Amino acid sequence: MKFIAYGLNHLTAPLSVREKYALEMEKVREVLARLKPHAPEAAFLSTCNRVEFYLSTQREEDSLGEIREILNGLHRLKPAEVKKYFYLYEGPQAFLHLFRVASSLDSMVVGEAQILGQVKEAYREAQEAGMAGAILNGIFHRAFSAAKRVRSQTEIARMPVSVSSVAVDLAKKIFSTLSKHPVLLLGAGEMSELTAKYLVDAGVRDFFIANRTLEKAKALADRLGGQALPLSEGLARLGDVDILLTSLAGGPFIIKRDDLESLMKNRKGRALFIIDIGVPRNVDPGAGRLESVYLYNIDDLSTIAESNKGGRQRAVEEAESILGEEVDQLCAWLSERELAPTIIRLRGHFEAVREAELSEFLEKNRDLPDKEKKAIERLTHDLIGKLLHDPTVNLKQVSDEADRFDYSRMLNDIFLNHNPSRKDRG
Amino acid sequence: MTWITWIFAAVAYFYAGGSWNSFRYYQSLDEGFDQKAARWLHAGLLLQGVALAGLWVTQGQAPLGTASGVLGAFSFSLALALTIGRIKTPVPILGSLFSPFIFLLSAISFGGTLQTPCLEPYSVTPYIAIHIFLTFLGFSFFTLGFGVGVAFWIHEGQIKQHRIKSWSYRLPALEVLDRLTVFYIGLGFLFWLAGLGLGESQGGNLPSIHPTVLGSFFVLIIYACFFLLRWVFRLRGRKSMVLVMAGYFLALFIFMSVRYFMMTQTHF
Repeated sequence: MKFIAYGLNHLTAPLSVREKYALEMEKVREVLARLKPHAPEAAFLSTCNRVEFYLSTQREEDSLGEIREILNGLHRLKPAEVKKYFYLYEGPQAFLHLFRVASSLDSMVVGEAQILGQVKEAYREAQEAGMAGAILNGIFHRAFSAAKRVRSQTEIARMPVSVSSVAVDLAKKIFSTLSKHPVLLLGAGEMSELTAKYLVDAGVRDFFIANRTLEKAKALADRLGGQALPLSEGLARLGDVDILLTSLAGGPFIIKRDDLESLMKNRKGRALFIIDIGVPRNVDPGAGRLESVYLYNIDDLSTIAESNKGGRQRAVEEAESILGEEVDQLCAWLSERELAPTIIRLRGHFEAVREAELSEFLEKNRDLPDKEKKAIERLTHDLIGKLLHDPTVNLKQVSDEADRFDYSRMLNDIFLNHNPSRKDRG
Repeated sequence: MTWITWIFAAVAYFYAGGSWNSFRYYQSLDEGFDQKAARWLHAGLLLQGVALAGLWVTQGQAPLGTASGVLGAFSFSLALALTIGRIKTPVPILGSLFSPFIFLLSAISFGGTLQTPCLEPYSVTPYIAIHIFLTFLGFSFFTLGFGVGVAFWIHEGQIKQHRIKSWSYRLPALEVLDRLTVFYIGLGFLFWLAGLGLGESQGGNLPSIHPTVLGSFFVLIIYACFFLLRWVFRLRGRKSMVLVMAGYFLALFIFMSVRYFMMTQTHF
């Protein structure tokens, strides 16, 4: 049985090609049903950044041929034109690829959490289609556990690398649940809209958007689900909100330290997180020294984002090493699984020989006391155990697939007179 | 070894398991380890509670006559406070910080190396034993409140000064730390007040001007100021944490003075 990964992703194919292969869930089920006669175990992962098949098959060419036919049926491009976008991984390389995908090391935004859910969904679809057998189950469960290890044992998911996500991350460090904390947006520029979107995704519910041009504020409020206000009214609401995101154009320091100082006295100790992404700055930097005021401007956020990028690179290196360990463990498991029948037969054969010889010996030596009979029985048992221990351990450690088959055949030839055909080769 | 020694060895073993899993949580941030640590801690707590109660019943006197007994009771109260705090808001990093300390106390207590008399046997009446346990529990809550307060202090400083360190990802939001500090100090205040009241009423020397009693009273005043400033003047943030720390250092000094600086542990 061979495990292969076949597909394309954002690194190998442009969006214009990827979008031709994007499938809805119903189509995914159809694809799996079509593939079933050609590959007993298969999963199909289709996201905006990748289209991939994971197969456990004995007939690699046949399965790949069918996959290519399925994919060619999705568009009108010539197969020769799209061939260059596809990759094919086999065995340990395919395991590593799946593990990297699930751990989001292969994602466009390294460390994003969505991909693990998408891989789980692909696996669930395979299960529902009856195409997740012992091999696929084992491999995918190990992929999930590897992804969990990477997320928990490295800083990969804890280091936001964009200005907007850094701002949201900081908000989460100050407030436990963002849904309980109202946000005021001053200005309706592109950057503040992006950050506001991140805040909405992180759970913010109450949104006020104030702008000099009310229409712009209304348009943004429609997109984000907030409440649009004229600028003067927005500034008056400053005391009611816990997060202020400001990006107003115009003169510097629209919000002065003294104004904030008197405002904070009325806030009864509630913290105020100010994200000032306006250039020139909208908030007097001296305000950052006030008790319970946390002020970050665009440079502060960019500095953190840059520093996180370095940290994330280190985390990727750690993650790669974790995935290497996981692939080794998976190979060992598969190797053990493949060799298990041979090892069981070998042990059974030795045990049968031992029992036969022992019975013959005991038959000839009936006068022996029971204590000695038991001692001899234990001795032969231990002898067989010790003789087979090292070969068994060494066999389990054979990682190369071809070597595994050769060893298995040799053992069968020498001890068992059973020669597995090349068709049985996994 | 007597049966009770075996039980206390088992308690130390459970607390060691809790510490080990808490440490592994700290390393990996895998919540599975935190849950395992909590289970080990709960098992140790339950067993220790039963053992302490059993000793009290079988010996006819609370097991507070020796330094080992006192340390055992203190490790029990700290584990209890940690468990109660966990029910309110699970903050795994607290387990990582305090579990090793609980294990250490219980191990020293089990080791029996401190069999030196700590309290005169005649003085350990049931009321005095309850007084000791209540003040231990109060002090344990103050300790946890102090720990959370220090975490708030550091975390807030980092956010304010834009110097966030990677380990701070292990801490919850400032809002949670602030709420938890109030919770721990509030419970500590109640137990400390109850312990102080019971000790004084049973000591028979009201009103006492003994330094430890006065000091304990000052601890209560500091924490009362903490609550008053929060609720009336809405004092929050680092300034309010100064009071938490001040109160704790005074409580710690009183604890140390009862054990080390006085000729007798009787204080009323």
